[in-house]
Amino acid sequence: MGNIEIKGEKTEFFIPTVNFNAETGICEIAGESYLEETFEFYQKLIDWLTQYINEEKKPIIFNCKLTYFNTASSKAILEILRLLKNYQQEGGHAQINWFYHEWDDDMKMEVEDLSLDADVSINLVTF
Amino acid sequence: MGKGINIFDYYMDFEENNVIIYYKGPFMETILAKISEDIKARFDKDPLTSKKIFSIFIELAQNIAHHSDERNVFGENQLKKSGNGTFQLSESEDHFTLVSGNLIRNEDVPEIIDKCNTVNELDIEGLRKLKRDLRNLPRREGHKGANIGLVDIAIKAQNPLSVEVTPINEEFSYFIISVEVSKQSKAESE
Repeated sequence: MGNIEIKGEKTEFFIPTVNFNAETGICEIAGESYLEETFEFYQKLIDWLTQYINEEKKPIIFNCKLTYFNTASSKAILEILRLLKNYQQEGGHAQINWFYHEWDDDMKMEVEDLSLDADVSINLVTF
Repeated sequence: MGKGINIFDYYMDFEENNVIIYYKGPFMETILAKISEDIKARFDKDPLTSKKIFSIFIELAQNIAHHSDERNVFGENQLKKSGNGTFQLSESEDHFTLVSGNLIRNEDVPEIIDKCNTVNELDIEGLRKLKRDLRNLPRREGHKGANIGLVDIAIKAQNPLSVEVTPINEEFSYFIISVEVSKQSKAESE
């Protein structure tokens, strides 16, 4: 299967940079997320991960390096985390690393809440 | 010079109240992106406060863009679909104040006041729980957002929301929401 490569931009909306690699299983999302069609954007990522989980069945390392995401994006990110949690429960290997700035208490709180909600452990790593 | 507002009085009012940003007009994405960049660049020495202001601005702006009942009647599509409203950011010694204003239908007033009251009654842990609960609700058809903007604003601000509704006529009221963000001393003391 192919990779997802989206180059982030910040002209009107804030489109995150996405690199999902089917060879390495390293899936990275970075930048800022504030989109016109939030659910449609994330659905592509969710579909890719679902296909990877069903067909490749290899380990996934999900690196989230988003420095900002709006509330609509957080709902979609939660879906990704739940998908990875399910994969873990089915015996798959999925590691979730979340990069944040040390000063960003709000991001830390947000990640704690997402982790609680998806019932999945997230490694917090400072940039 | 015709009638209308006195620009000098207006200017002095803004100066006296330390208004940093004032915008009235259509909440179009191109303009929102520019204001966001300006907020980020302006407060880069205090990144946490800067991000709080920026995040709250985005949620307030989205409320106006999606829900304001004052719509543009110009021909261009972009203008047609964005709601009209006002945003103001001002600074005092120990905090920033963000204010947004827009027209709403009178029938929507009780629900919005209710939402704000609920938010104001909760402490930070209660707000975090409410945010999680709302986020877990199924996506609403025809809505782009997650319906948790006001809760998120209160979490980021760590201050209550103040709301003012002024009836205009039988159909519309003017809705103003304002919130303060305390300056973080952390970044400076490090």
